[in-house]
Amino acid sequence: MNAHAKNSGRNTLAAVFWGFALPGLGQVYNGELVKGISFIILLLTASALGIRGALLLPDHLLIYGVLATLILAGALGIYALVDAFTHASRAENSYPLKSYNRWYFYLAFWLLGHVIIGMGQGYMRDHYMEAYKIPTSSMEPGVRQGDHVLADKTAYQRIAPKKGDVVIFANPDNRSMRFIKRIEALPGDVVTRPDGTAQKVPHGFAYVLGDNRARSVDSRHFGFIPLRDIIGKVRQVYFASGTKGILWHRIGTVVGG
Amino acid sequence: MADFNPSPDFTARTMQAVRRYEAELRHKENRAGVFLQSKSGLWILSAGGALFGVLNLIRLASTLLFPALCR
Repeated sequence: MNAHAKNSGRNTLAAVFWGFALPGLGQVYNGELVKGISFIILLLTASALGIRGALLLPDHLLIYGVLATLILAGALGIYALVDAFTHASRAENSYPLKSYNRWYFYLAFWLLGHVIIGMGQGYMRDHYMEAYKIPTSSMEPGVRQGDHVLADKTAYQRIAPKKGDVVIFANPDNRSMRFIKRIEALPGDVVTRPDGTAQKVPHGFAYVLGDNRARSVDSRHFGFIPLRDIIGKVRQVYFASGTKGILWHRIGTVVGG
Repeated sequence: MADFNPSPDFTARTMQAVRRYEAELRHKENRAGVFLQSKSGLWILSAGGALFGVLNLIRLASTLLFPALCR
């Protein structure tokens, strides 16, 4: 192979293009494979730490913590782009091609990178925090139809559920469905069932009710729910819309006891 | 094995073949470079990059933009 084929300048626009396709891929294009991989790891780590940190904030600051994490992730992506551009411009005239400077390697890196980022996002969604949209009025006026809420999936790792908490749990009759209700009674408490009988909440279970009793399917209908079926604690409304458009005054509303 | 006696123009023919091969390689490299410098190449890279950027932004905020349903 002659020296000319092994020396091919880097194109700054191509570096930025690959950087847009996946943070870190622009660095791979510039012959910095380790740096490119590091960008992906840094992005995931910063996002995970940011979300965990946001969850430790008081309820009314949660949404700001989440926004700060998103801005941080965006800033890292922009930094990766600028770095790719800068290094490509330095190697515009001469650059010794590496073995991985092939279009199919970029494609494979892009696919693998997105799979890894997707897995990371999935892990954070399943274990840290998830957003939910409320399509029913079962929890009005506390949580209204059209509200989008943030549920903290780590809340009950630190403290036990308490009465008044608004929680997300798996529907006992259809476990693929999620319900949002308020905890009304915990193990040891006595509740009055719809037929008038008194019943003690057994160990490991909770009694949940919707705030809008007339329009709520809850423990009055499906009985006690296992505490282990509680997925997360609802903490804040991050978006709300109604028939008249966006409800700006509800954004940031703290939910629960 | 019989001694190999190259023809008088062996070296010349070999070097011509080598130079043809090198020119082909240079042509392939130049094609990519020409495309990247051309107007259509710049447009495609810019539009593709912008599209990827938007998609990545949406993906970044996907957990907020596409919440799960909860009754």
